[in-house]
Amino acid sequence: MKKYMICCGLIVFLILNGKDLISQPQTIFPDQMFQSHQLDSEGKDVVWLKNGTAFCTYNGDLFMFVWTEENGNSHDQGLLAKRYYPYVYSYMNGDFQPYLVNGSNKLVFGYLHEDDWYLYHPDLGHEYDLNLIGKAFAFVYNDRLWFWSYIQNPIRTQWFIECWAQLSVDGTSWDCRINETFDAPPVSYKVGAVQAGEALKTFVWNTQSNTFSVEEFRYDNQAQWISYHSKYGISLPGNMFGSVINYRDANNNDCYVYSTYIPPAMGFISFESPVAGWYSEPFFSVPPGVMTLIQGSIRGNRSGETVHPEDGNRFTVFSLSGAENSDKSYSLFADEWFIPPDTAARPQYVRTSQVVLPAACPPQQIDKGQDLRSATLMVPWDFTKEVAGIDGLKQQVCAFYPDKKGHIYGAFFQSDNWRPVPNSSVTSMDLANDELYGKEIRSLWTLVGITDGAPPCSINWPVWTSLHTPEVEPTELKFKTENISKTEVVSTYEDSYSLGFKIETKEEEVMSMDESFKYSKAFENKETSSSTVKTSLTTNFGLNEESQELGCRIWSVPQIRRISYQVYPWYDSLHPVINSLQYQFRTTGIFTYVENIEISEFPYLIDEPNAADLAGWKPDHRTAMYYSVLENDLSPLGPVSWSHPNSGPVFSFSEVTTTTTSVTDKNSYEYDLSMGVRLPEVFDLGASMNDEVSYSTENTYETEFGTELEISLSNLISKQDGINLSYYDFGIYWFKPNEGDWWYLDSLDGQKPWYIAYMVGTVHSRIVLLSPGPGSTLRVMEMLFRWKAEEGELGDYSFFISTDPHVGPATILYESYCGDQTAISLEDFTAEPGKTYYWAVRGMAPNGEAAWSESRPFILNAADEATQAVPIKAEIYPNPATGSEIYLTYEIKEEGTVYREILDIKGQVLLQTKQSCRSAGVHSEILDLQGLTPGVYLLVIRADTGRVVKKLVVGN
Amino acid sequence: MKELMIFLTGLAFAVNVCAQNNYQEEQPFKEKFLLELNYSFLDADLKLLTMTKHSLWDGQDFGTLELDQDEIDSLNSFVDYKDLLHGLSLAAGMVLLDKPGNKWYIEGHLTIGLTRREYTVINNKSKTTDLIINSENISPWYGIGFNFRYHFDAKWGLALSPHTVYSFGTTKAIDDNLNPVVEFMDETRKNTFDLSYTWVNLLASFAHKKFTIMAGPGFYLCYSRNEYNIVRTQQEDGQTYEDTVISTLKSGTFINGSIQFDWRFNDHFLFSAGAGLSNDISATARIVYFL
Repeated sequence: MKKYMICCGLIVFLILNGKDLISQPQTIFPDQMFQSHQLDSEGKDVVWLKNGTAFCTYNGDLFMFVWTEENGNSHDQGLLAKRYYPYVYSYMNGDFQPYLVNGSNKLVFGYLHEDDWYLYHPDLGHEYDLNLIGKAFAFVYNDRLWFWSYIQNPIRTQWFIECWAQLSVDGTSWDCRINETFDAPPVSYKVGAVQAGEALKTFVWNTQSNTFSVEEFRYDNQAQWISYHSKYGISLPGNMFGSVINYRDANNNDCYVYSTYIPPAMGFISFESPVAGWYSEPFFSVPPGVMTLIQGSIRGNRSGETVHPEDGNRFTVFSLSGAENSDKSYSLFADEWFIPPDTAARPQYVRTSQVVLPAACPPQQIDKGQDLRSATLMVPWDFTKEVAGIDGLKQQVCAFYPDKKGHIYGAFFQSDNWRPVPNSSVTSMDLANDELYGKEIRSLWTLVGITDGAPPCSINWPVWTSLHTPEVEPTELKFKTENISKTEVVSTYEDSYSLGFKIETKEEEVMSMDESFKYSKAFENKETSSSTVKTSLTTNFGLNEESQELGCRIWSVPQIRRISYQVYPWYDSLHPVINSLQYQFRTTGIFTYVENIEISEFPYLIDEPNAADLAGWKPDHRTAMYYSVLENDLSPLGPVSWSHPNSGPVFSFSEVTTTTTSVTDKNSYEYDLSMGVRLPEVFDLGASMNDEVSYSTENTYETEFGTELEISLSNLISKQDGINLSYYDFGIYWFKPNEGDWWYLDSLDGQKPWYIAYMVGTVHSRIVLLSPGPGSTLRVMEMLFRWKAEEGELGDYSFFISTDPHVGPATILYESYCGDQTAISLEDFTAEPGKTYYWAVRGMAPNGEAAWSESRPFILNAADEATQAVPIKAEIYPNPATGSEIYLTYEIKEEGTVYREILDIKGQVLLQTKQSCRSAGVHSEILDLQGLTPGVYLLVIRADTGRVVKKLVVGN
Repeated sequence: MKELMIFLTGLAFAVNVCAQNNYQEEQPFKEKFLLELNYSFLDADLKLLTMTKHSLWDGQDFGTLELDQDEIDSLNSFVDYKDLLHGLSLAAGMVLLDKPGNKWYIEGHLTIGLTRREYTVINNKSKTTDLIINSENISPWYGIGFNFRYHFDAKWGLALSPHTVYSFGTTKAIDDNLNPVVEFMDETRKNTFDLSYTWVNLLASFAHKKFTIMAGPGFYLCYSRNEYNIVRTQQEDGQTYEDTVISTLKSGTFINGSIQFDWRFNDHFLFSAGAGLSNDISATARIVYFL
């Protein structure tokens, strides 16, 4: 009778709770299977050793800890000692990769003995197996990843070692510590842990009383470690601990769900909630051999679910059957539960499903019996398109188990979906507000170029604007620089899927003042793609006051988009889970951005761009820049000058065109940023952390500079037009980034842009090139260059030969200081026949300002190639000449006519003699100086086969 | 007690009656060829020899898992593997030796027929029947057998009967509780088997008129190989998931006690029935037509 009543009561209980005990469980297929293979660096299989393998989700990453045997060195007694270490792995690209910290993924416990670490004393002299007490487990506490394990010394059985490991917040180091006790046998040991607010609750199994209890710890920020706080009992049924999760109810109360069991007979699900209370329910699936539970659904990839518009918080209980199957495996089951939003309501059971596993991947017993673990993982969808309902992050729930040989298998299930919040995506340009969003985004911009803005001019603007109304044909000073930069950017970038999170939000808005955007390396699933961006920048400067006050910077900006995500239950695309938000950053390309900068700022530093004397544009004001010009022998692209009398139109036009030039620049960013992944607030898993980020972009800029400059001046009648200056001259300088040591580069945080700058000149003198003429084809003996200064005094001449019309540090082939001389004969420059060279001269005015000549091309006669190898040797004695005669000795290689010329420093021929049919060989002559006045002269000896020029000084 | 006394009395009477007849060498039958209609039954408890499992899921090869000897022994300790065979066959043979004055009789025949097989796996730990495979189609059955007899006298003799039969087939009638059907997936399951059954009976025979009774030990071996293949296909994307389990088994015991009863009721027809008893049960019934 008694038994009958019990059975009836059980049946009534089951009926009232709606659980279907009679029907068979449904089936479910994992969305993905994982099978371990060679993982460690030595090519050995990593195996699930006893109960020493633990899994944990940390910031969206899936971590695995595996106790692994390692053969140690011989110790005192000459025998090999096995040693064991937990190795750490993280899941990436479908496999577990070693999680390296300081180059190693090994956790080292124990103590140092003779420069080697031992967990046990090395003098034991035996080979021994790892003897684990209970199960190793991992958890997250205080934004850190932790690992715990308990070991008994197999020889000295009274010796127990509790191993703790903590990963630092910045992920750069593991802190591994041990607690040793010498009591035998162990009375209690830890079986699990969970963060409860500020506390760490560890669950302890007492082997004497056969009960569970709780030991609480707090985190000591000074010691960077936990400290014991308190201990108390807890009423959990069963004698084996599965796992624990915590969640927050609608009122943000911390609640807990536990799985415990008595293998292979019974399982229990227990709940702890401040509102709903504490209670346990028997586990109504197949009697379990081992249990574990994890938050998240397993139905994300399945249709046909009933709709629960108000609940979205599910957890899953995984279990292995207690009874072995007839193929030497155990069956894996998944029980689904959901948590109603009503704080007083208890979690509800949904269904049981048997998980179909590959026949070759059976769950089996390992040395200590069955083991089963669970964790979650976040994986991105395809982000190439932001399409509502499809784009987002997949959350996966994973169940891991071993086979008899310790192979590790994982069944992955797609869980809930993270989908973009409509209209929430913002671009990197929107995020460029440093005050609001910090500087991280802007620091990824590359400064490609700087221009001084509108060319300098000095105009009385009120007069100008009063005279030149729109109805009147304007008198304008037009500086038009076309195609000043046409940058083709070929960029190859690693497209990192990254997660960010909101560090602090003062309100529940998407954006707040405290928001920062961080990158994570949660995913190594990178793709490399390239795109070519061509932009053409044309800056036309109007003749108005405002155009004088702004320069522009040209940036290459990675186009980054931030997309906000919320989690949606797999069955409901309309109701996101409350308190869930994630950010995802996506690099979609590179574009060019022009930024206007006040001309008074660096590097312009021009306080009065419209001053009457244009002081800000002059070399003596922009001294640092001018010093770089002189030091690096940088010539202007072309001089622009204009002189204006009091009446009549004056027009001066200068057109400078240059061939295109390429500048290649490569940038890569290694960025250390904070990261964080916060899973829904309902399940308090996420925490902010620091992590390393690898965002690398390789950009090749092919920049074309077409410096076509057009200047026109028309209809200027008188000074009353508003133009202040009667004479005006300025040069356009181009500071190429890799060709000189420019003063501004050190000030731009490592950025190396090009810079087109204007400098107003005050030197009225100009240098006129005399000979050779433009485009001359010269013979070797005709390499004599002459020039003169006009309209003023110049001296300290420097002579340059360049490969480019624009003489600059990268193009200069030959440079010679000439002092006050206005001619030079090249004795030590070897020109390549047939190739076009450019020569130019720079002179210095008394005020220290430079004046440049134009650059003029010349070509060495190709026929002279043969003769270049046969120079004429000559000697003069005495030199300086003290009388009216000098002795000249010279040698010619071949018979021919020999000319002897004496030139002054201006290149004017003073004396010339000729001797025909001179035979090959050495000849000595007396040369009459015919009353040359004291000074410096050039003696030129030329023959059919060559020429030589000697400096001759005639003394008093 | 009463019934036993009646049986023993009757048996004594029959033996006495038979013993009173002197052995007279009977004339051998003239018929040399024979045709036989045969029904065989076998209910064998097998032992697992090997089991391998291979999985190819969505292009990912999970390799082949082979159970080691410890695992095999463990399975044999709590799992029953049963093979139930029903075979109906025709045999053709001839009398190879049956000469007057020769105490030897040799007969040989070839068998061809059909069999129906049911293979069952029972897990005694979980008390579940994990697998039942029925050959829904009748599978072919081939065999060869001999009968060797030596007559000590007209009554007593010794018989040696080696036989072997071989059957094979493929079936999709599978009831699998270990690998349940998965929702939203199409699947095909098939089991391909090979089976051979060889037995040698060493029987002492006693003949009286048209009847012969034989009894003695029988030695036998039943060997089977099953290849069980499951292919599942996702309805949504067409991805396939394939599992193959290959197991080989053999009979758990090799000796039984055999009895056989022959009734040659005229020159042309013989009826024979026999059974082997041990952990396994076998039975045979046949009608032979001599010509």
